[in-house]
Amino acid sequence: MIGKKICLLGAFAVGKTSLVERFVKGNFKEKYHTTVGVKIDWKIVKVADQEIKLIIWDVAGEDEFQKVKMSNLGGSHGYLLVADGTRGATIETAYQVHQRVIEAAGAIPFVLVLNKIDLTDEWEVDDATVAGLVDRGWDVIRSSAMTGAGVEEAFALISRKIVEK
Amino acid sequence: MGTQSSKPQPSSSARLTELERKQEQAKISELRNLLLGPARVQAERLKPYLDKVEPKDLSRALPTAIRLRNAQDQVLTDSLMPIVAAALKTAVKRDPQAVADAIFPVMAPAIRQAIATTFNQLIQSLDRSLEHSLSLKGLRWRLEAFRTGKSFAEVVLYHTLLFRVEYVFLIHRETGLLLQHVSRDGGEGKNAEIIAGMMTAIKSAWQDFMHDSFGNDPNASLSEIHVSNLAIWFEQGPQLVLACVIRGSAPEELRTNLMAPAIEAIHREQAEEIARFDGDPDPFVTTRHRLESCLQQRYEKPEGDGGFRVSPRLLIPLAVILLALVTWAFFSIRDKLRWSDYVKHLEAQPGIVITETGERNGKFFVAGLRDPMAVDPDRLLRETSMLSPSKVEGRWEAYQTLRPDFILARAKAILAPPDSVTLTLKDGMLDATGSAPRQWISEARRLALAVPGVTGFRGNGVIDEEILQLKAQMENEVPRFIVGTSQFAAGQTETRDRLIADARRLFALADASSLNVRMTVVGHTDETGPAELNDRLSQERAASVKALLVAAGLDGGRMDAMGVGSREPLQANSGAPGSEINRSVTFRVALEGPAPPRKS
Repeated sequence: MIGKKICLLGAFAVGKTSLVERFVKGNFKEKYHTTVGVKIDWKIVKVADQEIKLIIWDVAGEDEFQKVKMSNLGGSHGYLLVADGTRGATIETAYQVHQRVIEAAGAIPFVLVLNKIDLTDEWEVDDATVAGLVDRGWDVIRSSAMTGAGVEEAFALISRKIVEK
Repeated sequence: MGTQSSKPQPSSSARLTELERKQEQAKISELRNLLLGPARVQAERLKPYLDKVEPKDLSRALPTAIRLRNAQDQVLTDSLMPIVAAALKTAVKRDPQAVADAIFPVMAPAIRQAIATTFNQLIQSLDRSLEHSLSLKGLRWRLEAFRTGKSFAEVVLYHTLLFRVEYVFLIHRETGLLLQHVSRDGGEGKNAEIIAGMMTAIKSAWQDFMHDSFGNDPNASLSEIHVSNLAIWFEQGPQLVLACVIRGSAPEELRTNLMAPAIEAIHREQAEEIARFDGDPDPFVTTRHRLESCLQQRYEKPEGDGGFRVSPRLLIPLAVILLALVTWAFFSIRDKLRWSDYVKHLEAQPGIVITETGERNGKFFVAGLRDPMAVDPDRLLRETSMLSPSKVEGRWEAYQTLRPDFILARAKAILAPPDSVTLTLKDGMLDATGSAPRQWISEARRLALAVPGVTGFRGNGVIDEEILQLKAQMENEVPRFIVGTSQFAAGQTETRDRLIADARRLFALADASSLNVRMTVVGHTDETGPAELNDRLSQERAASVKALLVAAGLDGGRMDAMGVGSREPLQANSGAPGSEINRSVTFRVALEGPAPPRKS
C-alpha cells in the first residue's frame, strides 16, 4: 500500500494534536498538552477507490521562541496549515510557516484548517479574510477537533490533492 | 490571390480562372509533398503492415518492447500480474505436480535451511540449559525463573545473551516512510510505521541540534541511540537508512560486516525502485533477505576451565540411559516389594504351605502344598496385590491339613448334614447334635470315620426326625369326654386308634435310638361344678386314657396320669360351644438322651 507523509504545521495551541487525535482515534481531550518535537501516527484513507496509508507528522507548534523545524518536513507529500479561528494572529503565523515551506520544499499540496469552530462566541476571523485567502487559491476548511466537524474533510482533501498532484 | 480575383473581366475571366486553378493545385500539391511527403511514403510503406500484423514480426519486436516498457515504468508489470497469477492458479489446479517439480529446487533448500536453523537454535538452547542446570548460578537462575514465572531456558538465554538484533527497519531517508521491516519473532509490528517515522524525526532533530549548537556538518548523522539495554544502530545510505534495534551490546563487526554491506547492496539492487519511489513499499519486499541477514544474535561462550568437561550433547544420551536405569530400578524394586508382600500374605493363609519361592526367567515363582479347601493363590494375587498375574508362576501339590477348622469343613463337605444338625470337632472327635432323618444318621455314622482327621464320631445327639414328629403329633391330640364322665364323647374312636398307633411307634423308635421317653397324660374339665369334683373327674379321665394305652400293650412305667381340673382350661370361656374342648385330656412327651459314656 502506498504511504504518504503529511505534516501538521502552525502556531502553538491551535489544535494540531487534537485534530490528529480526532482523525486517528476519534476522540478529544479537553486538557492541553504541548507537543515536544514531533509525534507520528498513521491512518488508512481511501481516495477514489485507492487506499493510501497516511503517515501523519504532528509537528510542535510555532511560538515567538521557536520556529517550526523545516527538517521535519523532509519528503512530505503535503501538509495541513492549522490556525485557530479564535486567534486571528495564528493565520499570520500559518502564512509565515507556509512561506518558509515553499522556500524549503517548494510548492506541495496544502490545506488551511481553521480550527475551533465550536467556539462561536470567541470567533475572530471574518469571512472577508477567508475570502481573501480563497481568492489566492488556498483551500480553507473550518473544523472543530472537539465536535469532529470538518476534520475528516480536511484530511480527505489533502489526501486527494496529494494523489491528484 | 485576393488581388487577382478582385479584377472583374468576364470574357477572359473563365480561362484565367481555369489557369489559376491549375497553378493553385500545382502549388498545393507541391506544398503537400513538401510538408507530408516523407510521412506519406512511410504511411504507404506501413499500409500492408497495418492491414495484417505478421506474428513473425511481432515476435521479433515483443521482447525488446517488453524490456523497454519495463525500464520505463511499472504499467506492464501491473497489467501482466493478474494474468500471470491466474495462469499460475490454473496450472496448479490442472497439474500440481508440474508446478511442484518446478519450484522444488527453490523450496527444498529453503525448507532445509529453515529446519536446520530451528534445530540449531533448539540445540543451542538445550546446551545452555543443561550447562547451567547444575551450577550454583544455575540454581539462582532457576529461583529467578520460579519467581518470574518464565521458563528456565528463557532465563538462561537472557543472562547469557551478549546481543540480539530484534528488529531491522529499512527507511526512506527523506520521508521517513517505512519500506520494509523484519523482526526476530516474525511479528508484523503494528506500529512499525510510527517507529520508523520517530527514528527519522529523532535523527533529524539531533542533526539540527548538533548543527545549531556546535556548527557540525549538517550532513553528519546520528549513528546510534542507547536506552538502557536497548540500542538502535543506524546505517545510512544516500537515500535509505537501515536501523537495527539491538538488545545487549553488539560488536562493531555487526555494522561493518553486515549492516553496511546490506544497505550498499540494497542501494545497488533497488536503484530504480528508489528513484521511482512514490510511497509504495511493495517493490522493496525483495530486500527482506538483506534485512534478515542482520538479525544476528550471540550468546556467552561456556567458560572453559581447562579441566575435563563433558559436552552437554554427550550428556543427553547419558541422561537418557540414567533415566532408563532409574526407571527400571524403580519398577524392579516395586515389583520385588509387592512380591514379598504377596508371599507373606500367602504364607499366612490356612491350608497353604510354601516350600520354595524365587525368580526364574524374569518371573516370580512359588511352589508348595495346598489343601483343596484353602484359598486359590491366583485369586488372592488378583484381589490383594498390585503385581501383574502374568509375572507370577505357581506350582502346587495337593495335601490335606489337620487343622481342626479344615477337618470340620472337610467333614461338612463329605457328610452334607441338613441345616438342623450342628457339627463340632474337638480333639478329633466329631459331635453331631440336632435332628435329622434316620437315614442320614446311619450314613453319618458310617462315613464320619472316613473323613481325614476325624478320629471318632458321636451321633447320639441327633434325634430321629420322625420321633419329633410323633411327639408333636401326640401333643396336638385333644380327645374329648362326655360331660361329668371319663368316657370318650361320641365320634372319638378314630382319635383313640390314632393315639394308640402313634404312642406305639414313638415308644418303638425311642427304643431304637436309645432315647428315654416319658409321656404324661393330663386330664381337664370345664369350669362347671365344684373344683374338688372337677379335680377328681380330671384325674379319672387321665387315668382312663393311660389304662387304655396300657391295655393296648404300651409300657405303663413310662407313662404318668395327672388331673388339673379346670385350672388349665384349653379355652378360657367355659360356656358352650367352646367349653366342650375343656372336657378332654392332653399329652406331654419328654425325650431324654442317654447319659454320655463316661471315661473310666
